[in-house]
Amino acid sequence: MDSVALATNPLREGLRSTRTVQPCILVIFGATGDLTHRKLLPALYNLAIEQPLPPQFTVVGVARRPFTDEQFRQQALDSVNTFSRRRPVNPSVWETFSKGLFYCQSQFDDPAGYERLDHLLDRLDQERGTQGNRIFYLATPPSFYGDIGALLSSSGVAKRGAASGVSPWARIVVEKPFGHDLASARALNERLNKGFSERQIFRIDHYLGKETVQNIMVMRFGNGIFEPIWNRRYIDHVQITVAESIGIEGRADYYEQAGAIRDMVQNHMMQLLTLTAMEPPVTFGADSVRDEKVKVLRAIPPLMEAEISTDTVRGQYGPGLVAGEPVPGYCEEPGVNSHSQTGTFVAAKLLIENWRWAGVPFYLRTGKRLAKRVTEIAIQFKRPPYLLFQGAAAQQMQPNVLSMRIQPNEGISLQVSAKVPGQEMKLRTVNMDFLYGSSFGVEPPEAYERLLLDAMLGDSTLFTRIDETELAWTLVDTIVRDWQVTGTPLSRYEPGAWGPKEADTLIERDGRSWRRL
Amino acid sequence: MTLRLTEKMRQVEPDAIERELDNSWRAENAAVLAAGGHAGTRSSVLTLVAYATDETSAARTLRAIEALTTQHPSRSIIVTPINATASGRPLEAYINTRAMTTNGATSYGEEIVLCATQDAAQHLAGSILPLIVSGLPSFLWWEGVPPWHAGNFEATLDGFDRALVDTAEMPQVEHNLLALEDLVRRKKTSVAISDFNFTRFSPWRELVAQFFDPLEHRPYLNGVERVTIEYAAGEEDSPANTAQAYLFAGWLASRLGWRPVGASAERLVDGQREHTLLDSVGHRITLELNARYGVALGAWLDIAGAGDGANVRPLVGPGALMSVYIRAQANGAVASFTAARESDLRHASTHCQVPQGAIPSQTVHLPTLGEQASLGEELLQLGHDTLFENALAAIIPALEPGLRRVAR
Repeated sequence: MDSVALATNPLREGLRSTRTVQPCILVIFGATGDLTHRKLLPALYNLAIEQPLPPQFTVVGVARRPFTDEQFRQQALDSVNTFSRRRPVNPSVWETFSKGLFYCQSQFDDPAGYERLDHLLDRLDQERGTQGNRIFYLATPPSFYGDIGALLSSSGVAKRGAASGVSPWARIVVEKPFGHDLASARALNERLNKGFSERQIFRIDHYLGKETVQNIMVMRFGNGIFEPIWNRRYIDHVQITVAESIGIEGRADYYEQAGAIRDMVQNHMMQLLTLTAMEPPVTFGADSVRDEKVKVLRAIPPLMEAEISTDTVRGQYGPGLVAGEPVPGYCEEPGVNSHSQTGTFVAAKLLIENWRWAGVPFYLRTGKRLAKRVTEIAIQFKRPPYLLFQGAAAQQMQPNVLSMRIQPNEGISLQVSAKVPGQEMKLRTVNMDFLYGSSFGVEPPEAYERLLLDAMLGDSTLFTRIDETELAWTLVDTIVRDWQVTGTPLSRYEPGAWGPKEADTLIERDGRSWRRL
Repeated sequence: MTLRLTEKMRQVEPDAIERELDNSWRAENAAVLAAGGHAGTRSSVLTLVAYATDETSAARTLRAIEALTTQHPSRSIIVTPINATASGRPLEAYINTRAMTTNGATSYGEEIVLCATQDAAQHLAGSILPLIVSGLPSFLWWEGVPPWHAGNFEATLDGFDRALVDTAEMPQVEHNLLALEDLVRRKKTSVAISDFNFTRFSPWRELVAQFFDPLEHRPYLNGVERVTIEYAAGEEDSPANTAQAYLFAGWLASRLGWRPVGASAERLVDGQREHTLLDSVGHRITLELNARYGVALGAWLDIAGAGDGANVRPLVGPGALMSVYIRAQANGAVASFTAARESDLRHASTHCQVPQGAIPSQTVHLPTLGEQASLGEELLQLGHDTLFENALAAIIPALEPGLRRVAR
């Protein structure tokens, strides 16, 4: 080497962490809340112990409680000791990590608080060498997002920086839900845009931080055997299931507003659908991947009134027994209106009108208090064009199904037909299971670790872009509006079962059935 | 001959190993099905062959491999030379199949132990190459000093994708580094060869690289004046292993374009060496290697992995890096960068003195890369480790010809 290239660090080449975080301050709004306690602080500590954070890295918690820096540090210590995958805390690492934790008490809509915050950030830039780089993380109730975004801008705290790595830069991370419909999402975006350009806004859907969700792309585009058959010629239909066994767990305020369709379909399920259906991106860069996801959303034709009545089902769990224990129905949950019309279950059939997917239905179902917690994408292939095996031999023949399990027991399973050993020609379906846990015993990082690190690095590949968000809301709004206008009734379902019988009818009408999971 | 390490294994005919493994899996699946379970599909990702110099190290090697089964489900073959087999045959074979369930996921491993008489051990290719699982990456881990120039050894080596040696466990480090570099160069197009000892100090490379991530620190990389590397040694009169220190210096040299000025050790006393290197524009850099005596050392094979159980002792093996100090100048300003192992040996602190302003010191957890963790890291790599190859090549000119040892 003739001379040292100063544009990049020559010592970084070939090392485990080739992507390096620049010195910065992460400002967490809602620093005493549940998300910070359970996810953010443990994730930051995990990053600190695995070394990708620079020594200057600093966290400032902002919340309404009158905490001191020391009290915030104590809370963070409790968070790490309770929820970190690297618990118990390592005292030596904690010693230096905790020195970078600070607290600023403020109401989220109080301009004076933002002034105090600004002074604190300037002081920390001097003391800790954070170079004016900021990430604002909104971990508050969604109703505060707009106010915080606007005040960050008007107070000058979010001095317009670059989204890229040129210091000083500023970014804002917004938790889901991003609005509660298309209009509110646009209004929120407008308020954020006063201080932040689109490249500076990182909308989190934590599903995208999951290793197994990222693996959908690797499986599709890293293996030559799948892509040639990943189309209408070979695939009969696709089923996407996001099932939860729990109820609403005390989140009545939020859930009454959202329901299953806003809580799951608009974000997580649309992400799974777009990753399954998208065309290969030209690069693995943020815009290339998101461009392809947007194209899929654009190719979903808006559902007409008649289709909504036949191709969507909404349900609500009633009271019952789960594992022998009585559980309340949704309307008996604390904080829920006893006549609530909020859906806790949604099933839908969507079509994607493009060359790859024309005529291939995508069946979606999600709900609370279902039989088990499972998230899965199942690709059901068409039967062989000619059934060579007849009569008893063929009785057990099932079509091939490739299922990608996101959680739990992450992995891929392929159902194939095989001959039962013996004199007779009998066929049985067998599973070829590939569990990630069986091939890579390494514990994957938590979704929030990956997403926080990506936000610090300015990589928005795993964050949703505004056009993506808007298209998903457009789809959901159409369905919700029709349900309201036509007064589509809620179908009750037994807790611990797989949803209302109308969901079965939806798919059986097409001569298909839901997978037994 | 029954070795302690094969106590829980089943002896089979050497030419029936594949068939017997297959029978074992059938029996295991049948038992699972009879109990109403689901016979899973086995994942296997590689073949690992470990050559151990004796029974004791073979047993330690087996432990390290067993612990890795969940991370790298594999076929593992351990070969160990013995004086004579009980049967009088040149080779005895033992097998074992393992299913380990962790967090609900079951991993599968196959273990084969081959005990070979000295004669048979010199002709291993015909015994082990047929046992390599087709189509999967294959690794050869050679404990101790390989017979560098033996034709039989090279014939075996050529059947693998990667070969791993450990310079930390080798005597006469400088001599063996030279032989290793010669082998790496000769086998460049066939086998990727690497050294556990280089992998072990990867956390140190991260630490030192981090100093120069800020753009304003980069100019110092052009003006390095002195590098001091301290490495762990045992008692004062025992020979110290300098491999990590030299390889670390080699890594810096290869990344920054430095070249040693011949075998230019100016002060050669026990535990202290000084070399001169030149950067790309001819500036002189002093490289100092110092032994820190009195560190409690253990064989790397006995050291736990990155998990670092609280009571695990010892924590470091021969020649482990203890500190790295870099002094540099840029635009007339002097800066220093230090990464030093804490007294608990589990952590390192970084200190950075630059005129541009304060950089907070940082204490980081220093994963102890014992054999298990190092092996795990190595098995993740499939191709050539060009960082290692370049580091080795960069430091070799400082070692030859014939480094002298001068008594104090």
